[in-house]
Amino acid sequence: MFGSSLRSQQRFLVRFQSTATETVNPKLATIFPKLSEISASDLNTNTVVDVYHIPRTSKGNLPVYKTIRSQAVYTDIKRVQGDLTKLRNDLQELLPEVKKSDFTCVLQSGSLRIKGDHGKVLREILSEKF
Amino acid sequence: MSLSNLFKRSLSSLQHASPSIPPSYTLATLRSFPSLEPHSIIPILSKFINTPIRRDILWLAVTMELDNKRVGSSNPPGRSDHKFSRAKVLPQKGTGRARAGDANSPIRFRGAYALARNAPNDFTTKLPMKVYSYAYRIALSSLYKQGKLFIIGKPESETNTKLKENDSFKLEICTNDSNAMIQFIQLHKFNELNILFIVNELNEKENLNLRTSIKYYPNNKITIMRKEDIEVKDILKANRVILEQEVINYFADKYCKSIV
Repeated sequence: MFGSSLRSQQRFLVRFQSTATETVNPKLATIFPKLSEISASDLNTNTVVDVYHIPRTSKGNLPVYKTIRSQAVYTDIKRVQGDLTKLRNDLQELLPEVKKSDFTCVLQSGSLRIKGDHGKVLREILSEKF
Repeated sequence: MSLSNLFKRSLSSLQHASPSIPPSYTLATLRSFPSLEPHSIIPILSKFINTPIRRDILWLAVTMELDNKRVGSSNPPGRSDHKFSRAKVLPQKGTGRARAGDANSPIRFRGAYALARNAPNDFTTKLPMKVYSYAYRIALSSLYKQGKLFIIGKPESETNTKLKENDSFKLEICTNDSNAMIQFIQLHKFNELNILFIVNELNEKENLNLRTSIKYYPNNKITIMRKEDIEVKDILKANRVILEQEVINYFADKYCKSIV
């Protein structure tokens, strides 16, 4: 423990005495850009109704998951931004073989839960647009 | 109706590829202290300070924090430590009642604890850093959206800044009189509200006056804390949060790892 604190002190001293110029943290530059660096469209606050967006995950896949609960299988569409009920209505039209009561909107987390395993169909449908 | 048509229709009113994505930046005000007079605006990433409220995520974070605060000092006795005799309370047979062992049995009135344990008891729970960071951003966002977050900071171009008398761009006041704090609270109508000041560093030079006047303030509704000590619960408990620009930079650096 003592050794590690000594080492960190040494590291601090090296940095303290260095003549290197102060560099801007690239992460902070993204979070706090200068006012001149952003455009008006970045601040767009027009509320848009009846539209939704499903962003891809960091691995480039669609956020469609299969959830298994002891006796039942569900398909979850997560990370839905915008109008979730509109997405549900559209999917209900696209999947007439699934009962309407099998769709559940979870507004708090922005996810749509459908009873049964519909992952393959959903990925096909959603990849056309998202 | 073909599949693609349906989706086109749902997004037809907009030219962008992904129109319902919320605006990527939002504008926050930099103020001077103690007048809280606005002096300039800075853009901040929406995901950091203007993210939609998720009460479930906040609940996870606060529960974890409170779990980790528990000391775990209880020593409930097990049936071998308990005060009663080891003798059997009834004969095994002939009474017509159910079989019974000794009076220490946990199922009996004034019996021992079934799951005895010894202090220190560990009640700590864990939460992925990604989730905790998200909770932190939601907590800050909830304040920002309600206009309850005041950022004290120097504008980038200082050419046109006219400060009021005794104002500065630091979290410090010119006197350590507790009346100063009373005046500040009355001026901004912060009476009966929980006020949280978050400072970059607690030291003699930077904020001695502010700390002293808070110390002698008649009630304990005003708190001053270092940026490192702040938890999600502290942010949620406060009705108004007044912080330095360096503090918001520190939060952004620490709690935006998964989004930037």
